[in-house]
Amino acid sequence: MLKFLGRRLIQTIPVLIGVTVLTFSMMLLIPGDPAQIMAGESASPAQLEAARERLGLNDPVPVQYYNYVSGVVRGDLGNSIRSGRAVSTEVFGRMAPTVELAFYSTLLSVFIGLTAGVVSAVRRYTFIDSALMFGALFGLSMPNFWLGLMLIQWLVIGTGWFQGFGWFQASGWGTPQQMILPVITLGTAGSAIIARMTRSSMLEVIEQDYIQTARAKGVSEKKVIYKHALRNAMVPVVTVVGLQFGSLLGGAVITETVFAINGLGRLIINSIRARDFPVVQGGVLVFAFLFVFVNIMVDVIYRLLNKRIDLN
Amino acid sequence: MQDKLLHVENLNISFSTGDTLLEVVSDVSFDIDHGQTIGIVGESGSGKSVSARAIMQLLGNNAVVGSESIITFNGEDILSKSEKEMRKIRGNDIGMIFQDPMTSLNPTMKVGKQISETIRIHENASKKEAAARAKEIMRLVGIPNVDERFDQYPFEFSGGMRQRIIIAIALACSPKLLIADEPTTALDVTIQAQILDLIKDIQEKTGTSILLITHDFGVVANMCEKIVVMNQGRVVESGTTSEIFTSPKEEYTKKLLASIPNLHEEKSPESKEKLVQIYSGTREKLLEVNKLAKHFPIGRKNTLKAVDSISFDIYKGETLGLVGESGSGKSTTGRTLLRLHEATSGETIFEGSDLNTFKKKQMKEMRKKVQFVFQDPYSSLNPRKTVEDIIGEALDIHKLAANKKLRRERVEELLTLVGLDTSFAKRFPHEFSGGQRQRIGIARALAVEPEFIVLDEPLSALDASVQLTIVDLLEELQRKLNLTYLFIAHDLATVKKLSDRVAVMYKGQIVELTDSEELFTNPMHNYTRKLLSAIPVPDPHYTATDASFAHDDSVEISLEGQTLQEVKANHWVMQ
Repeated sequence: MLKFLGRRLIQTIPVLIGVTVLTFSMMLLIPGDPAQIMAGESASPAQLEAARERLGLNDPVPVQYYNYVSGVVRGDLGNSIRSGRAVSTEVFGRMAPTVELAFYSTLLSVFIGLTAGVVSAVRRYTFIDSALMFGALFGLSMPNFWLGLMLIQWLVIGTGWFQGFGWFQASGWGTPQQMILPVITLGTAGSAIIARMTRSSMLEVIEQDYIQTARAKGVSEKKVIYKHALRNAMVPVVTVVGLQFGSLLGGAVITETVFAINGLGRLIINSIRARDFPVVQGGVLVFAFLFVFVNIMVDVIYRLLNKRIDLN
Repeated sequence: MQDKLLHVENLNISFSTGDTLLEVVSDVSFDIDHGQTIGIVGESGSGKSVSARAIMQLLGNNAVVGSESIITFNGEDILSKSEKEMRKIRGNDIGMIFQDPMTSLNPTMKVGKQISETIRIHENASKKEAAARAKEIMRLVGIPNVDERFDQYPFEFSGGMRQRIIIAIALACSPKLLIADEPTTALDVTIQAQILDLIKDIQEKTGTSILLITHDFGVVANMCEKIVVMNQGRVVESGTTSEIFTSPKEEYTKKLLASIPNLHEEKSPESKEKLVQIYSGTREKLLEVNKLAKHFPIGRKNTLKAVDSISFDIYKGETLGLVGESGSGKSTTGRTLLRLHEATSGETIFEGSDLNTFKKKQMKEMRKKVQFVFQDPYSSLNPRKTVEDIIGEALDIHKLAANKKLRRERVEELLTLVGLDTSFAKRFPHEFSGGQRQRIGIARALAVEPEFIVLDEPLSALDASVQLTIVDLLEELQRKLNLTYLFIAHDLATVKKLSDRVAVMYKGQIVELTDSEELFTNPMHNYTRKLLSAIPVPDPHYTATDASFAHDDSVEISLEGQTLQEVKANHWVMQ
């Protein structure tokens, strides 16, 4: 297992290099001159040149890339144009709410998705199955910014029960009251996807010969489902959960904006508006690293679930 | 009825499909005494498996058992039992063995746990006690290194070993009745012989009754005291095994018995003539295979030598049989010959040049002359295409039909050639039976008017009576179109019938090559003898003489440093 983990980590190196190439080229490709932004609209040509020199924009591209990567390795992501503070400080300071939001949303979608999927599969073609799958389709089709706005409209403004805004405006962790709505908003689509995946995977597994073997042993139906079927059905579901976590990070950008959460997503949005490229670059890089990390974890879980897989 | 262990009377089973009820079993009655083994024999769709599942009450929700049906087990009425009461019987009083060992074990559960689970459900045993009992049963069914094997997963076991585990699960609580549903159909002949031995042995030791369900008369002949023959959901005939074999009363039983290929049947004069020409050198060679090898990499360091430097010739108009068990490399050989796999080394000389060096364009030309018929008639036909498009596709690729009308005509001609109705052209594969599908597959291969066809186990998914009709068709086509076949199979009896010469493959090598009569009457290589002795003989009075080979895995067969040598005229053996 450790050997596998080590190999898997080594395999991520090319991926991470690819990510740095992409985030670096983003700088080169997007319209607008960073030096101009830094120096201000009214800067003189001399000031502009000085800014260029300071940002290293006069160096050849490979040298710029080398400087960029060696910075990344040392944890130096440059400085924010707006605030002048280190990008790493800005980004890591905002990471906690985003990761927490994605984590709780994943938990929620796994819980709801698995339950709904299993119930649907076991009660195949009944009213419950149809109702759950209709719900899943609805949850999947609903854009999460709209869902977020509707939740605010009905539950926060309508009843005053929840405090929808400002999860992390102040420092410290959010209260459950503040967290519930964003987590629901972000977790709904995932629940729907996992529910549908679990259902179809369960239906396939239930038809397998070894389920018949289990029944012929005298195993109770409940145990047939949970001990024999679910574990096998989980294998493809785990993959989806991993991918889902990645898209949750992306979805967080919107959800954080709707609920005014001071997370990484919102930081990126604001930095794009302000053309604060180093921060955008740093934020995207951190997102990408997170995604790679989560997928390694998924592979580990996958392997624990399914001993047959030899990830050589 | 009290003295019977199992009594089945007037069993009727229907399945509801939408609004209609489809009756699949009607008026089936039979009994099993304590300690008796009876066999239910029938072809696919005869209702034999459904009847067995009814005894376990494992039919699923859409099955309806007729109200007049009676099943009593050990004096108790099975059909009136609740699901909860049934669970106490399943695995405890009645154990069941399934057909396919590859799919019948839970892949994510350790085998030991799968066995001890049964014990823990039915007996008030602690984890430790159950594990100890499970290990004992694993030893009983012949699993070596039980302590180590106990904690392994099913994928670490071979097919035969998995079937032993499944038998262990069924035996875990010493059931009074063991239902074995085609327990050896998915296994190689030598493994089949071992598993049948094991079941027999267990019956002798434990005295359990056995209900053996099979399509193979060879299997029941030496296992069962009584036989029930089923067809289309009904009992055709039942009686003692020797009654059924020696004086069958019903036409259907006679037909089934007649469809068992006879190993001692003489070859046709035509085939003998072919052999004379081949051996005297007057018949032309079609294909010359020189030291052909195909290795597959396993991981980074190891290679699997699926085909390890084999040489043979194929003559025009002959059928060369290629026999071996799963993993012997016979299918890989067929595929490598046609470059469906690229050869690792060696030559395949066709009309003077090596196929393996052909460029894309030459190869396309070549594909017109060589064709392939696949094993599984269900998955080898695209379900979304009509029969016309399936057969016509080859015509399109090689531009053999100038327009739609000619294409249509050619397809109809081909359908007639393989004995199918021309009206089938517009229909889809799912509307046909296995035998009909295999005919469609053959028509597809014939579309480009090939000279050479590789038949990769074309019969193994079919019922015996259907197999016979396909063999007849293949022989007839060979005569009409002067075709050459490479016939790949694991079933020695059909190989004998169809082939002029036979090559026996083992571990990627050809261990014996000669004409089929010589091979079956005078097998020289130990492996060939092992294979032949493992064939179940459909004769209840037959007692094995050369049994030691098939039933004993300890007879090591080594090929180390050996080469294929002509031991006597035209009889090549690895030595």
